[in-house]
Amino acid sequence: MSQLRSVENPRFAHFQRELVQALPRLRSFARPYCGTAADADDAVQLTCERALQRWQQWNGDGTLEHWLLKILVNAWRDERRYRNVRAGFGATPIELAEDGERGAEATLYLDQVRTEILRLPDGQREVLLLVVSEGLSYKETAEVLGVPVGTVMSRLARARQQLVAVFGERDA
Amino acid sequence: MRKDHVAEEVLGAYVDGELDADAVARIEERLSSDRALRDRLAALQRVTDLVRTAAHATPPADSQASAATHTRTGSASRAGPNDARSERAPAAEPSRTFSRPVVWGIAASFVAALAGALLTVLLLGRDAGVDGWQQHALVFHESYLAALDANRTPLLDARASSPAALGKSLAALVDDELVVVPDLSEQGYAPQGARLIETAAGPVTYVVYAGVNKPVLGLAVLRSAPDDDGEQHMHQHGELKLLEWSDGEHRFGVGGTHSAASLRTLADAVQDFATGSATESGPSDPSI
Repeated sequence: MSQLRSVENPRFAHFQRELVQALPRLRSFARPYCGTAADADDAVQLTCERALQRWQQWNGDGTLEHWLLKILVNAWRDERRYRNVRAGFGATPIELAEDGERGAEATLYLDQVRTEILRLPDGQREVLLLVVSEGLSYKETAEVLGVPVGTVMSRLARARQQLVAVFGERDA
Repeated sequence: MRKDHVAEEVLGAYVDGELDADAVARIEERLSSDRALRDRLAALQRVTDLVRTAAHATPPADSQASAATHTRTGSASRAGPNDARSERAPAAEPSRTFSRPVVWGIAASFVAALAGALLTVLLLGRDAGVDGWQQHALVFHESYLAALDANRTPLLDARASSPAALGKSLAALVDDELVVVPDLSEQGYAPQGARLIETAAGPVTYVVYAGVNKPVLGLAVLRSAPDDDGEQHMHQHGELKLLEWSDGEHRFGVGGTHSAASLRTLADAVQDFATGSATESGPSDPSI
């Protein structure tokens, strides 16, 4: 075992504890981003593996969660490229409700929303989920994705326009 | 057209709280006299709420059984002071406050706490020569249990900050007859944690085992069933299920959602790795 990654290294031990605390946040983002629970698990796993391999690159600036979200987005892009499928949609359709107790209509409706989110181009979906679901500011989102704030705003606007076209008028 | 597109961005920034005070004032002044703008704002707000709800609500396929009932049987009813709900660490929250489902926050905090305990146990109590295994085990364990318990609130959770403390925690639960922990030491497994939940079919206990000096994580499932004396007791349901293992170069595991086919493939692979004391993996029980 590498000395630098030894559990006797207090910095690494601290990093691992912080990583564990960030796992719920990563899963929260990965589930709608990747489309299925299995893919979300894969994405979180990939993220943790990369983060643990590169933990010394974490310089403590900003929050660890944002650094991990950046890794997750990049890792999942790579994984999808490897699989040669478009993110979640088509290859692994959203699972529909089988449990009648949960309210079939509401469940199906939310499934439709998730499906439409998955239909969005990758860049728009990433921005939409980071801002709306994860609550990142535009500036934080821009840092995570490595794009200008203006790009965040335009991608977000286009994503919302698309969803409004599907859901906005119908429910008005 | 371009002008309208920019306005869309600004309106979105208004919804997201990204505008400065002057810009907010300008938008609100225009909203007061522009019905079409109010309609657009309402539509934006509506889809924003929809996205937030859809993203944070657990899809049905993630939960593997109907909602739990709250009828306790036998010894499992005496959760008392050991109830994990009083011990959970706070969940990681986004930088803004949103109305995400409470149950998800509880589950997330619980899983984080359990994963942290497992990490500590693995790091301190396992063979340090199995480089990287602990990390895989940690992540996998978190993912698996998150999927398994997506819609459930555990009643008990044995966890601790060290192997010794965890041992005491487990021992206390066993002494109180709150959980039953099968002795699998002869098979080369040591208990790492236990969780008691309630299901429609009654209480179910998961006990997580780690291989002693071998990189294997396993899960035993116990259910409440009547003994010869008619009283309800926890009994192991099926064989130990392998969660994850390593052959030193590759990692094998069962995902949060999984199929019998993938399990069989993994079971074949593990035969090349496992020692004679390792148990076979069987298909997961879909009812748990």
